[in-house]
Amino acid sequence: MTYRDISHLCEMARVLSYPRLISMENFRQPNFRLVAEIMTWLVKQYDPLADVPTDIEGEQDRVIFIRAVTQIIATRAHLKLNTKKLYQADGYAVKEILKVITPLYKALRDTENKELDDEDDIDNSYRYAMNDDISTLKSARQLCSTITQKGANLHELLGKELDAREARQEVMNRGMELSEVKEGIREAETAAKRELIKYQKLIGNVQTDEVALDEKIAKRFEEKDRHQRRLDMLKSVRPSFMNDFEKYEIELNELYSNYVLKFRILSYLEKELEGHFRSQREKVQEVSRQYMQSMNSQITEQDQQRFNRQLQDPNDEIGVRSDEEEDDEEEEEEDEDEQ
Amino acid sequence: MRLKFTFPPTLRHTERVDCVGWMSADDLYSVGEDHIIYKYNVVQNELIKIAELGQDLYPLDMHWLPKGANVVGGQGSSSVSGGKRTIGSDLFVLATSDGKFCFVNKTGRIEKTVEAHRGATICIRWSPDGSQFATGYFYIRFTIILILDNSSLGGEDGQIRIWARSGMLRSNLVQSATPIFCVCWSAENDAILYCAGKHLVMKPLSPNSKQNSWKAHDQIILKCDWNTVNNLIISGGEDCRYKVWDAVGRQLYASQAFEYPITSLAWAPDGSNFAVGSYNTIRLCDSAGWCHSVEKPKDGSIFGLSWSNDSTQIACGCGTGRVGIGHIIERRVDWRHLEFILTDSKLITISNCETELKDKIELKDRLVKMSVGFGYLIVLTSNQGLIYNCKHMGHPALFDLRDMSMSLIVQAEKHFLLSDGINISIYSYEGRLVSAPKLMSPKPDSVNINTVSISTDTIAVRDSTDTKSVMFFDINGKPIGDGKLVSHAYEIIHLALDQTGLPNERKLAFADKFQDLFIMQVRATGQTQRSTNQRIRKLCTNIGSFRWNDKNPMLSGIADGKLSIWFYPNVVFIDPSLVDKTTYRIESNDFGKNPSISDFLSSQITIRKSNGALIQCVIPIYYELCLDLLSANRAEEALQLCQYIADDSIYALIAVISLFNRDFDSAENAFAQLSNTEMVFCLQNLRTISSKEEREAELALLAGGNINEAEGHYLQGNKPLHAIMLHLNEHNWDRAIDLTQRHPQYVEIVVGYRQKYLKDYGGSKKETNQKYLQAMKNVDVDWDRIDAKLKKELGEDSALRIVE
Repeated sequence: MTYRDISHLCEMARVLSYPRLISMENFRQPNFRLVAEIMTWLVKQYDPLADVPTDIEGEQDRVIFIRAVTQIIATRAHLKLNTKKLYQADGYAVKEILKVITPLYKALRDTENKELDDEDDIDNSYRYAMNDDISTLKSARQLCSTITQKGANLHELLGKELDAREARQEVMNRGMELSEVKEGIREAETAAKRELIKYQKLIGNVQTDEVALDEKIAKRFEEKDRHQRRLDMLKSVRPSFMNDFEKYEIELNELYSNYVLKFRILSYLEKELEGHFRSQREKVQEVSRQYMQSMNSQITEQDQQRFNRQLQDPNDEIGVRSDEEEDDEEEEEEDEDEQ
Repeated sequence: MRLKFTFPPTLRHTERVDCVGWMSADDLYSVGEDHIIYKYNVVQNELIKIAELGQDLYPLDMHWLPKGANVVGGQGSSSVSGGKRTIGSDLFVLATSDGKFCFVNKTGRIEKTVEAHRGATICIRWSPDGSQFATGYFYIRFTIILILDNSSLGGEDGQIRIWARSGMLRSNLVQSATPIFCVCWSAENDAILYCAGKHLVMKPLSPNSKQNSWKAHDQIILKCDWNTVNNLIISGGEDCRYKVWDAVGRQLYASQAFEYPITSLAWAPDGSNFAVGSYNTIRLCDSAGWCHSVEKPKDGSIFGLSWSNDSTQIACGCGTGRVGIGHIIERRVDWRHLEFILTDSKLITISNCETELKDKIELKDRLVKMSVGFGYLIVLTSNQGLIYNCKHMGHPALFDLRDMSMSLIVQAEKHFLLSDGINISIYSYEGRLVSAPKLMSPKPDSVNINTVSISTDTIAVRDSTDTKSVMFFDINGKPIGDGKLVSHAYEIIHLALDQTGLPNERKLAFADKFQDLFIMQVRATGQTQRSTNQRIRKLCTNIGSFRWNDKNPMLSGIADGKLSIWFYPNVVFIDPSLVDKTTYRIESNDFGKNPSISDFLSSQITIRKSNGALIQCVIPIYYELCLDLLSANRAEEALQLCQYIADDSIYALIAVISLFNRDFDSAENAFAQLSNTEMVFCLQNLRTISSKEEREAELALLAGGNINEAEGHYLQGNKPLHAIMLHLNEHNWDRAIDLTQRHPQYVEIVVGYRQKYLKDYGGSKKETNQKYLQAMKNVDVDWDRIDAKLKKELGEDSALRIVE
């Protein structure tokens, strides 16, 4: 079962961040140095102040080392180690080391797991709360604003209370006399009566106004009827110029139709005339082009002839001939231009 | 690409977990040192405690029986149940620290416990396949047991033993002085790989062959894995590195040294990725070795890693007893202007580069596989398949996967192929099942991207047992030809069909074990019957990766670190001397080591470097234009196009294709431009021939030198003398004399030429051929008569006449 043990040891050492990596091969041969190193480190983990022998070269030193270590482990961690196996420093020693290292590893794992679980819990409850509160958050905010508003109002009113309290106290403290009260009531009564009379007067005035307005309305109606009658009378009469007007109207219509006809004819004729001019122009151009063509062909013919003549004349020097040709060509061009 | 891990809070062992394994795509089994077997369903988040093992049983490794092989009888002599399909497997083996291994079925019952050894059984693996059923042996599955023995003397030794699936010991394969921490099978079941100390050893099962061993790491190796698809090996050890090797032990990649030893490794079954576990770390790596993503769970070392069969999920067993489940997300595929990214396990984001619009597809189930090409996006989820048209993404066509976990999609223009690694089925883009071709010897994991190819009318599959041979089917699942395998001399590694052209011109490109690229004609029947030798022609040597174009018969490949594009691979059948001229080469130092071609769309080539970087290469567009014109039989316009470019290779292209299309004018024109005078002369000569059969025969000889075909044409045209003279020209003596049996009037000619040949070249050797000896008795040779006969029947200036 060494494979599993060594594999566990490697993993635990990695998790506990042991300063070097432990290989699967490390305990194939007895390896006391490594056992010593691991044990020293483990002892320091249990008790940082523990005094561990450092010399492991000699046989006696190693025995002392193992003994010291097992003693410390026994007292600090309450673990009993098999010293012989540990001294073998092979696969069996791994089992002994595992005994020591496993509690450390378990402890670390447990705390980590607990943290992980706690994190999960917090996470969960938080998420739950979030979901629940998001709906109530809005109403809570609204309530907050109303509370402040109400508070401000209340505060304002309480500020007025100082003055109000004085007045109230004064009024409450004053003594009442019967005669004074009587007098006051009577005064109030007369005042009320005066008011009553004034309103009755006003009602009378309204009735007279109503009568006057009715009269006015009747008058207006009469006026309107009169004007209506006059309008009807005027409408029934035919004016004297009407006959002339109708006559001229007919005449004007005739004139207009006449005008439109003439305008149309005119515009047609104008267009015809324009077309005629254009065709005339084209004819002229055509003729001139034909003329030019015939001229060109004539010239090229002449050139050809002259060229042939020159070819037949073999005594001419090449340079001279070409010069002459150029001159000739220039002349021809001039001729053409003139034409 | 990265892994998204979830650690189900319920799935927690109290001790560390070494063993995880997927029963099916949804069910995960984990066994921890707390002796409990849990089954976790990923879809329903449901945890079932399957069983509790005995207190003295500490599991160290588990492995599910590969699917496709089910236990029928309890006692070993079981056979493959042909038509029966099951989801996943139902039996796994468990190795324990006290030297036993147990067969455990999926209900948690221990069916059998075998005492293997006194030491610990560290590693246990089913062989990926064992279908010796086909070759007549008992169908036997092997288990490998590795034993680390701790004897009382203090020494340790490692042993590898092979067991029959009944639990009977078959052999002690390896006995070594060092412990063996990991072992794996080769894809062909004929070798195993194990790590011994700092060495990786590849040991063939047959006793006579030599083992291959090499020093792989500076410290001892803890884990190794060998993929069946790409045949690559990964290893990791205490020197805190992981390395990628090929099957002969060349190092392809070595990672930097990390902080902690590598404690686990696993290839995804499809060979595209692998995962590396270390202390508090999980890396997802590309098959080339570089790292896609790193996860840092705080759960101690990762001791167990296991991929689900569809290569989309991974489970990890950790030192703290928690089990993580990872999904691959942010996978991306792209096609022309569209890019599809898997942003979550059920969400695909589409971005269109032309319109810069983004879209999303939400899936009901977990995505298993997606593939895009030819205008269609195919998405396979765990329950069904969806086909989206790239033009309008709205309404996908749905189809049922019939409870098979598909692991491969190969697309062609009108159909696509799905495979679960054993069987193949063809679907149309409307989601209709077109056919399910029946393979000769179905074998798990034998169908992968390298061994199957589909085009509009043809399917090519490498045979799973005879890896030198290819089987062809038409799209309706019927075998092409006589239904026999087409064999090559060596093992075929990668094959691909061309995507365009007529069904009769269908070609297969394949690379064999020695990295030679060959072109094979798929349909060769009727008049164009050719022997296998003539159907297969070599195109190139030392090929790395190759790919056909999606629109034209262009083939691109990487050979000798150069990118070569063969514009018209058919040229090898017509005029092999023009192969070089019709090839375009791009030389670049950017490609690096082991580049692969990931796409070849119209005139654009995408190359993936071994470090994962993509390089775009462009070939001049006018080659594509020219091919388009030629395929539309518009050679005139193609020639006009050439006038602008004045490039020899494009003229060669036109010459070859026109010759193939029997368009003599353009061919002559193009050959003239290449100053290939003899071809021009031949073509002109060809036109003067009046008889149709004779012309066909001449053409067959000119374009490809196909003598059988030419002979067929001559005989059809009732010109036996032509055929005989053709064979005499070729020194094909046997066939020539055979032909005279039907046409005895020409015996004299054949015998005459034979004697002359023996006299001139053989140094007056005696005739030894029985047929000729017999013929010589009956005829006496008169050269004047022969000459007269030849002149009369062949004409004055026939090329077939042998002139002194």
